[in-house]
Amino acid sequence: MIEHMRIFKYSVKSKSVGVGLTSGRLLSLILAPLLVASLIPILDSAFAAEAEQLINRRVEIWGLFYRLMAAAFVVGAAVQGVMAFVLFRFREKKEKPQEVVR
Amino acid sequence: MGSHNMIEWVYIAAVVAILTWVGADSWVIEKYIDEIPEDAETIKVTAQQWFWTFEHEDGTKEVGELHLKAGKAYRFEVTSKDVIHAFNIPFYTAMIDAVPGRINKVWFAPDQTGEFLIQCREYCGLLHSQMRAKLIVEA
Repeated sequence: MIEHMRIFKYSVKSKSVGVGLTSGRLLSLILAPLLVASLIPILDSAFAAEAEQLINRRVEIWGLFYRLMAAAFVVGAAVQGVMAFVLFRFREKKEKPQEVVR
Repeated sequence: MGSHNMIEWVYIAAVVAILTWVGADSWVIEKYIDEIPEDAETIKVTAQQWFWTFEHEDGTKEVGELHLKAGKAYRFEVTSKDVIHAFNIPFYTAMIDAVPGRINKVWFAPDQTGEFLIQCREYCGLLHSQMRAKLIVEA
């Protein structure tokens, strides 16, 4: 019973903190990398356009392919890692079965 | 920030950031590739079962062979006389459908001399696999 109460308290606490995160810092945490990430290639293309050199289609396409493949693997690793972590946390939070003493 | 669910928020931010970067990067590269240089020489490409015909700007025609110069941009205006084909030069990652009654455009600038394969990439009948031509890039 005490263990159940502890879990209940924990979940209520986490909920309140979670709600607190949505304002300000959390938003900036999500938006800042988004902004930077989307600006980099656009700035890159702007500087490249000034040079006015003939692009090598083969190099550009294969370069994009390898970058996308690296991104796909990173996203895959992040998803897998977080899933493993969430499962581990859930497992650790659960009430441990008691040993039966006869 | 010291919350136990921070890992989820960081994970969401990281994944969304990576996917945004992927989208922006792809958009920029696609924009690059779609822009045909103004000084590109036009080559009219006609596909038909089962061979390729190339016509240069000066009116000279080649069948089954195409001679280009390295370091120069070429715009290919591709069409078909019968069924749908696809004009593909694997080495130079150039590919576009050849559709009857329609002119599709693709361009590239060969940077290496030598002989390269031109191949149909849309199944077009019995001898589709033999519908090839030779690209010869000269210095």
